[in-house]
Amino acid sequence: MSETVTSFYSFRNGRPARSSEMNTNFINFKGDVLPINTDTETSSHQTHNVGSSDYRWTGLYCNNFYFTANTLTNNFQIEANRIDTTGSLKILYSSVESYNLRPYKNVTCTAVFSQSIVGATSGWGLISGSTLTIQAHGRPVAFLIFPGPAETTSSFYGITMHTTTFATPPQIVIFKNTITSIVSNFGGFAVSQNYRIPCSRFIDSTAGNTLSTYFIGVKPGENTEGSSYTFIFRNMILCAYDWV
Amino acid sequence: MANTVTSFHTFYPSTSGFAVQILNNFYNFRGDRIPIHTATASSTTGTYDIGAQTKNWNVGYFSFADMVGDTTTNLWRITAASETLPSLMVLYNSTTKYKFSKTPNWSFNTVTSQTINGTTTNNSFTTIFTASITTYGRNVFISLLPAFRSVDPTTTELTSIYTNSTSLAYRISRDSQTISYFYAQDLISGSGTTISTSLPFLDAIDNSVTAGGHTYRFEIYNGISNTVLVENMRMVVREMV
Repeated sequence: MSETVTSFYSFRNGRPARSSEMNTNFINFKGDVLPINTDTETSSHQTHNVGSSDYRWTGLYCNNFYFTANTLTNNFQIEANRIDTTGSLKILYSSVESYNLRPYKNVTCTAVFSQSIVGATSGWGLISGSTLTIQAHGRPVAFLIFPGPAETTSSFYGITMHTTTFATPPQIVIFKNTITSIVSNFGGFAVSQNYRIPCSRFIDSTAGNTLSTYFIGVKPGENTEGSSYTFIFRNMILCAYDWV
Repeated sequence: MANTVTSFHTFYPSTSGFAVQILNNFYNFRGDRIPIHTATASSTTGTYDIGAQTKNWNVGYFSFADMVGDTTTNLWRITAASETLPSLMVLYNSTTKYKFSKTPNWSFNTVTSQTINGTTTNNSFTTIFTASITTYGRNVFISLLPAFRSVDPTTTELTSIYTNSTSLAYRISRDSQTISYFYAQDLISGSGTTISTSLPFLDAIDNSVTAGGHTYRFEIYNGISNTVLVENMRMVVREMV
């Protein structure tokens, strides 16, 4: 697009207005509409307004907004997403997507999962059904593990670990993409009886702007006699969300 | 409003009707203002800009802004709400989806002290809190957390769910639908020894809520004769962004 105005004629009494000059002036209002300086034949930057506080336009119909602060690289853009057919309103900073407002739920959750892991004394036991994928937008991604809706009083629902004395403590871990990438590690709780956890939160503070897959792993621990224990997830849901 | 431009005159030397043609061109700039094609005497959509990257308008004064995505049915509107609580609203296809107000879209309730006696009747729940919220169809986060309370250093102040029950269940529900159910069959001890403990925080996410008004409820089931004591706790429900 043209990013400047190179001419704008001022007509005077006693001098016929030329058709070419008239065309030149009108062309400035066709196509892209730039702010024209009131005193010079040039465009202005961050000087003039569209409407005023007393006389405002009713509606602006466009595909996106572009806001520039003190430098050109310090800019925000609000655009209706033209790729995602389910629709979203994006806020970009310096052309990088920072927020993605969707017309529907913005939280990614797994289905209810249950699994008993017999403790490995080394390595990680991976929890089936705990995998989810979420797009980060430069902010932390938060996780919540909590019990699902089914009800029974025949057995506990939640996360449990029953052990006595430890040689290695039990741990709950959130992995990102591979089991070598640990996002958060909740472990080392030292109780000598059943330990019930109704819910737990985790944060990935290095989520970046990437699409990542997360899943839960556990290391059930080992007692001083070398016997391992069972780590149980029952009726649990894992949700992840962009931390707005 | 005019939805199109039907004429835009290009002037040539020594033509007549000059004043009328000038006026007709200026009429395109009165009232509603729509983009004019640079080569034809017609309007164009989705092609031209207002301002440029290096030539910004300073302030835009509008009542609303409509933004179109991939199809005209994929329409977003940003507008200031003329309601009791001032807010900036974001609508998708005419339905409010986000409301940015001075205060977030949340609700809470607090209990100072409540004792739940044991029962032998399964699923006999005692309601501790209710909190109502009107949502725009996104997820709702439910938190149970300690409430603010002035602390007397000479006394003990409990801020938790405190129990020595070995048969405790809690239930978070929306209207009549259970969202989260936690049953601690033997929360305290696997060997039957009763040890007092407390639950300071509980969280859940409602992933199936629809837009509209809803009441969230936190309930406790105490399955044995020992008491469960809820002291200085608060339940907060908020719609997630």
